[in-house]
Amino acid sequence: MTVNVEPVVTITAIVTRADGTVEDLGIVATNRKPRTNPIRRIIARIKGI
Amino acid sequence: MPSTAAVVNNGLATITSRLIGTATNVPHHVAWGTGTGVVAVTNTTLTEPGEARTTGTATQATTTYTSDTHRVTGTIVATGTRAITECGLFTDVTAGTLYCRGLLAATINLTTGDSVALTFNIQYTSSVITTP
Repeated sequence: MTVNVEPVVTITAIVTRADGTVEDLGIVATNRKPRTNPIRRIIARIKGI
Repeated sequence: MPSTAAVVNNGLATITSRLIGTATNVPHHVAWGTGTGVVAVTNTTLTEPGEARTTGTATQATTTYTSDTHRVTGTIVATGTRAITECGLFTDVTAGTLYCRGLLAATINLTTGDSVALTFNIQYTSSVITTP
């Protein structure tokens, strides 16, 4: 038996300017796989892609 | 610019070392840089390190299952005009081992006195593979 552990990294950033303005940039880097349309996933599975 | 991120090979070694109790340094030192080198699991440092690292705050967080996520937050203040393109976590504030590196989706442009609060969420997911 093999246990596969895979880290999913998500990095977010909030910039605070010197004048006090705050900018929430949200996710700035990630290795998370983008979610695909479920219908496209099913079609891809049927096609064997 | 597409973003990428990874726990690097040395980071995996840090994890297993801490699991058996030999590692003493916690990978919660936050760094940023101005390099654009691709993220690879063989990375050992940032491409172009920038400001001095800051010691962040590490906690356990919940993404899907209780405490499945290692979270580190840290804020770095720019001491000049900067174009931030990468960031990472290290096991030491000056030397140490790279644990995790990210290449940003877009450059963050800063001037003196601007600061960036970075939050690293590293979720550990598990799947069991049964071999015949």
